[in-house]
Amino acid sequence: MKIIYQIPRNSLVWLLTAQVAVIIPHISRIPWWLTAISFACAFWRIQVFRGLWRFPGKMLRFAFVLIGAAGVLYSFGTILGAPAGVALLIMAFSFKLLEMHTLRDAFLVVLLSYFVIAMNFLFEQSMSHAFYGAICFLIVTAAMLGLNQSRSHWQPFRTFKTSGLIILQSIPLMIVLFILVPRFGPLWTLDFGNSNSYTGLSDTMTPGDIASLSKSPKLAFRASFEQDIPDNRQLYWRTLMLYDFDGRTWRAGSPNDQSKNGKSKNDSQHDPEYSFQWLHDYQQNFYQDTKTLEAIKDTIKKPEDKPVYNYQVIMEPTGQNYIFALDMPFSEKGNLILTRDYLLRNKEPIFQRFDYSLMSIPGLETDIKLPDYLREKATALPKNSNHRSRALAQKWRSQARTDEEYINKILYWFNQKNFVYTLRPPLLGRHSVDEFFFDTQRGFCAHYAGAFAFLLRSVNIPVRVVAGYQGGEINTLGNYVLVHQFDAHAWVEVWLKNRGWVRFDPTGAVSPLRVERGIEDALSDEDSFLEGSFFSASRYRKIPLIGLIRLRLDYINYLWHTKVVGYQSQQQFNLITKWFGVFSYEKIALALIISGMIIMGFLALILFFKRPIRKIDPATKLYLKYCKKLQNAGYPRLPGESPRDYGVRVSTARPNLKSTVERITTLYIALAYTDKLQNENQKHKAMNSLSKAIRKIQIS
Amino acid sequence: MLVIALFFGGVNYQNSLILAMCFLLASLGQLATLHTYRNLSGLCIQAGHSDNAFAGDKAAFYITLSRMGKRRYEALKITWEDSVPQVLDLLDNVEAQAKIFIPVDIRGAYKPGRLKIETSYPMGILKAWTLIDLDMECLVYPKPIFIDFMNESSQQSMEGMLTNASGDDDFDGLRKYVIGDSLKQVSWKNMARGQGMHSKMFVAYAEETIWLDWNYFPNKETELRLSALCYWVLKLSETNQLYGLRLPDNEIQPATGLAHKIRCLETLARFNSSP
Repeated sequence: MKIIYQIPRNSLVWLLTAQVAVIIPHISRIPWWLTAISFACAFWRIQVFRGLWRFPGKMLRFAFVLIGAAGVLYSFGTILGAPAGVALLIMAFSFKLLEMHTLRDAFLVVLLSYFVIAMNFLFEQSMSHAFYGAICFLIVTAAMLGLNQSRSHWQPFRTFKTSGLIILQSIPLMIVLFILVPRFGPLWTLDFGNSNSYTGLSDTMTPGDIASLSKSPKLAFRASFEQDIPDNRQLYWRTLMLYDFDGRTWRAGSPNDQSKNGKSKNDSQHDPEYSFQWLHDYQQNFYQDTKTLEAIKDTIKKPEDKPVYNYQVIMEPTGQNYIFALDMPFSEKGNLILTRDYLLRNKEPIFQRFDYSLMSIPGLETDIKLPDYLREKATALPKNSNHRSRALAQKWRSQARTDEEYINKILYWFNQKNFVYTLRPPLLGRHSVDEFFFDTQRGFCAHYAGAFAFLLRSVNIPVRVVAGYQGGEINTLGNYVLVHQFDAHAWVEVWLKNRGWVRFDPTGAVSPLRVERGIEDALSDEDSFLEGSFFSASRYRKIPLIGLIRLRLDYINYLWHTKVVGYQSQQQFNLITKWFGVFSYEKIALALIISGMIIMGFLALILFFKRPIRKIDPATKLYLKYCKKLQNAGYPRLPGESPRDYGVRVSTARPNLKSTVERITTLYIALAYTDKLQNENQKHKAMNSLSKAIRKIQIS
Repeated sequence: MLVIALFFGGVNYQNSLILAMCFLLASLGQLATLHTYRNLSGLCIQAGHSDNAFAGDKAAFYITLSRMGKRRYEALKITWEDSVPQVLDLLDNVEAQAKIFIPVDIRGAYKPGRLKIETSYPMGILKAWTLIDLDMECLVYPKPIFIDFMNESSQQSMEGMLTNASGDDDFDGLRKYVIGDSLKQVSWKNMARGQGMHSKMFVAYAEETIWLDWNYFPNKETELRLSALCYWVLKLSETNQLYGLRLPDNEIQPATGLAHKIRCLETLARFNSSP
């Protein structure tokens, strides 16, 4: 008779728990019927264990697999790619439960469970998911332990505890491996479906758009500075450049949004106006030799005498290739592209949390000689729209001597007339600028930037609208800035003779608070700030305690993302260079071996060291106390001296103590060395008198 | 394998958490060496007694495992080469006894080879084992085989005589149950009728001494003769007959009882006809 393998109960309990636990985070990702199948399989397995049902036959299992695979194909349209892969894995893993005939099969289920845990990290890398993953890991490990336990062992929680203990013990080695094992770049690239929706800036600006962003408390990115965090007024995170205006909507029609990275030299030859040859030399050099970085920083700094900001940005996924940067960014990462408008772009859309380091030098002069095609782009206006504004612009320009004077006139107008900064502007019609400028006079950054740009273009001053984020919340714990979606902002860059592109923020003329303190203060009279998300912690951040907790939590989160999730080859390179001076594989290998040995040796010591059982009996304890008293008085007990000899010696030296010392010695000898006192009662009495005598002894 | 797969997954997706998990598994595997070894070291193994067995049967050997410290031992698999493995734990108990059955085929003294204790706890990916020579021994009695023979004195087939002899133990009557009477002798029928506890009385009419003699089985191989003698020893002791054993080099005076039976069986087991 063939003996049917029965999984130890201990293990089955944990195996089924693990199955449920590891699938839970995937539920939103896989089709509902797959979840149902998984749980059905688990139920079937329980019934088999109880002896009520039988394992499915071979044909049935084959049919299951075919139908399942077809279902996945039907649901995802493919069986390739991460989401479908996860679905297939979960299916295989569920069916395997019904095919556990041997220890090997069960072990395979354990391995598959580990895999399913890991798969979740492809989609989620937050701290909470990592924590959940750790719990799942604990359960799966418990299942594995259970597999190797004897069948009679039926204490699942002890198994669980052992699992936790072993995992705790393996954590130090894991940390060492995590830090030291060299990271490589991706070997092949895989696409994630970009079906997910992301909040973020869009590349059009119609009044109303940015207002909806302002209501989102979601994080856009974090930026940590090496220096002090610049003033809020300096934090203009340029993201999008809007050139084309059709009378209502501004669109990104950047003249040159294509790659300039690497090919920058060619481009600069094409476009003689393209200044900053040195900038590209710098970028080129940077990849070749890190040591020149310092030198080049100096060359930039000295002639320009401008502040330099070095900062690292960790951005949430946007599904776009935008990179948020302060004025005139220099990238240290090879895959970032600098556009003609000095914006940065990633080569690929960003579907996962992404980090990059930048150096920014604000206020550099760009495009002193404006190429004609750019001038054309930056002054184009649709005909037959917003006639009133156009007329006003021409009138004002003719009154002003210079462009600057004209601009100031407009800003003064914004400031002095009854313009109101609000996130709840009235709807605007076809001639939106006219209506806003003359009639409603209520709006937010998009309205002001749009109207301002229109007024300038009307008199042929090149101007472009910049969309991005402004300001941010400073987390003093970690010296970084949190920029939320509600920090989205729009402003303009005006080309002025001899000065190049100059930033103007018309919103600042209306509501200086928006620029200096942030959107929240600007709207303090109005409840529109975050009114859609009542429960958002951001909404209550002005309440001190909640604000503090929120910032602290965010700091932990920030550390998590920078130090753990963001620990990639670049960070590893930096860290190892910092520790060992150079980055060499021999040193890494050596460090790995040595630290591995130390850890294993230490663990072996802990695991195998037998703690000597030193139970001092109470009589000896008391006696030692008495010895200590005598020692303090100048009569230490000699090594190897018996209590009796000691007593005699002390009595001779101090005859006045003789009776007490003798009494103590006798009692102690009786208690510790003889079995004269057989009765518990007697022993107790002797103990009491010993302790009393020792307490009373006065040595002066 | 899994670790490698995860490593590539982590590297490829630049996913720190997958890598972290892969490293955790790797160090778990590394730690398994310590834990598996630990699950075996410091174990105290004591040889217990062993049960003798008939050839073709299984002999039982008793092993006692005990621990010295507080350390727990799990899933220790104890085997001899041919035995069915037995799995023992030392969890809350300080010691545990394993009873291991080894099939024995050849009559005589049997010494099992080295005892193997192995464990793959906790991970199942590594196996630690140890071989110990415990110097245990048991006796293997000859396999009992029925061969009839003629008794010299009565000229009766032994089998026939025995049936007679058992007929001698005739039912004599009932007497009131006295403490000490075997429960087998209690007349349950009477008791069921509500007549109280009574013992059945038997009387053996003839107390004939039977000699089991080597020479009763002429023209047979040594082993077969011993097997036959073994059979009769068992048979006669079942019926509580007085019997003696006569071998070419040994003679056991007639007696009854368990000790006598064992003595006879041991003599048979130890018998060595080829000088």
